[in-house]
Order: sequence, then structure tokens, then C-alpha cells
Amino acid sequence: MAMDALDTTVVADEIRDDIVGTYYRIEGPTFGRYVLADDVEELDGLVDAEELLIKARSM
Amino acid sequence: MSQSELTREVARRVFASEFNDSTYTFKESDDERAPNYALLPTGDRANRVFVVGTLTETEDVGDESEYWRGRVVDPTGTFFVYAGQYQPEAASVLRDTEPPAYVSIVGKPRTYETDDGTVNVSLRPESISIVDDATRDRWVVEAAELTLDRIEAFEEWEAEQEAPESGSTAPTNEYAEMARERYDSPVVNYRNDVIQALESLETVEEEEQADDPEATI
Repeated sequence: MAMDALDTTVVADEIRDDIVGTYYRIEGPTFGRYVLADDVEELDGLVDAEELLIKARSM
Repeated sequence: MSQSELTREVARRVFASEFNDSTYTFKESDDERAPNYALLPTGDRANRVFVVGTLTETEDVGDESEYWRGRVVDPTGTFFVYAGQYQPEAASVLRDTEPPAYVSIVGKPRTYETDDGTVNVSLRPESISIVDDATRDRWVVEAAELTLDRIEAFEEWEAEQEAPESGSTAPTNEYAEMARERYDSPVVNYRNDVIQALESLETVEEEEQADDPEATI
């Protein structure tokens, strides 16, 4: 796609709506400030607030 | 301009109550392209924030061109989100979304002064996405965690100011210092908001379990 358009930003435009604002766990080597994603997992399960609540109350 | 200024900063996770109290803004260089920062009362600077909440109301408040206002509610208060012709994608989401809906927003804090001298803080969105309740809950927990981290750093710095002879190794905290100069609201208020936000998640979970007879067995 980027090759057809001679522009890499079209890829970002295409995937932005699908990925921005959602939590992921990404695994892979880092390259400067980027992570080369070998493995991507969307985090959509329940989160446990209990431990954090105990910490907040004890501060 | 230094390298750190050229690099995009991580968006701050901040609850509405603290965001709306972030009325002091500043720049760190005279460069006209230097980023604008809002000063968070828990002692950090925010050029960009990431928030998730319930879009409860949208209205086109523009005169000649469209200018959309959205109210986005989190467990501590309301974010006022404004998007016009220069934020076309965000504006179209506000136009097309039927409230109520969970939304996640990346955007920049903006302040404006009303006629009576009150400074209001609003959010200028760069992107708005429709998300689900699990994402909203995850954000509440993440925002709580990062807010507590800021409060902890603030309190360590404060303790160091009060007892410099104790030989504590707390690092200097430029933005905590700035926050104490600029704001009256004590950081404990934001800790209480964190507790309230986390408790709101617990209540929802309990209600869901109560609605489900299987869960009570």
C-alpha cells in the first residue's frame, strides 16, 4: 500500500481508526523509540482495581 | 531545539477533576513552535492527554462553520471537548456519534478565560475513538495508577522541603514546585478522586454480580 502511494503515512491513516484508543500488549525488539511488533495482543479482559485501591487508601 | 523537545511525549493520563484544575499554562522556550504545557496540580506538565469516558452530550455550537462541543464524563467529573474545522476527524465523530457512548480521546489541553476572570480548561481532540466498557475500566485503573505515581513524587518532594536535614534522596521536582506556587488545591484532593474513581468500578462489578443469580451461588 505504501509502495503504491509512494508514501508510508497512508498505512498509518488506514490503521489509525482501528487501533488508536485501545490497549494492547506488544512484544518485539525496540528500534529507537519504536517497537517492531512481533506479537500483538488486545487487552480486553477485566482489570483488578483492588490492589490499587488499597494503595490509594494507605497513602 | 533539543532532541527531547522534538520527540513526541507520552500523553498524560489524567482524571477530569485534575484536568479541569490545570488552569496554568506555560512554554519552556521562546521558540514560536515550542509546545504549550498545562501544569497538572499533582506536579507534571501535560502537552497532550489520553482520556476515556462516556460521551453524554454533543452540540454544534458554531456560528458560521461547525464547531462541536462534547461532554465526556469520567468518575470524577466532565471533560469539555471542542472540535471544529481544524480537527475534521474528531469533529465528524462528535457529529456522527449518538450519545451515550464510551469514547477514548487523545488531545491537547486548552484554556480560556471567561468574562468574570474564571479560567476554563477544555480538550482539543486529535483523535476520538468509540471504545467498549472494558477499555473504559482499564483506563480508569491506568489513570488512577499514574495519578498516584505523580502524587507520590509530589509528596516525597514536599517532605524533602519540610525536612531538608533528613538527608532524603528525593529528586528535585520542578513541576511539583511550580504546582505549589500556582495552585491552592492540595494534592490529597486528587488522591480522594482516585479512590472515588476506583470505588466506582468496584460498585459496578458488585451490581453486575448481583444482577447475575449464578454469581451469587
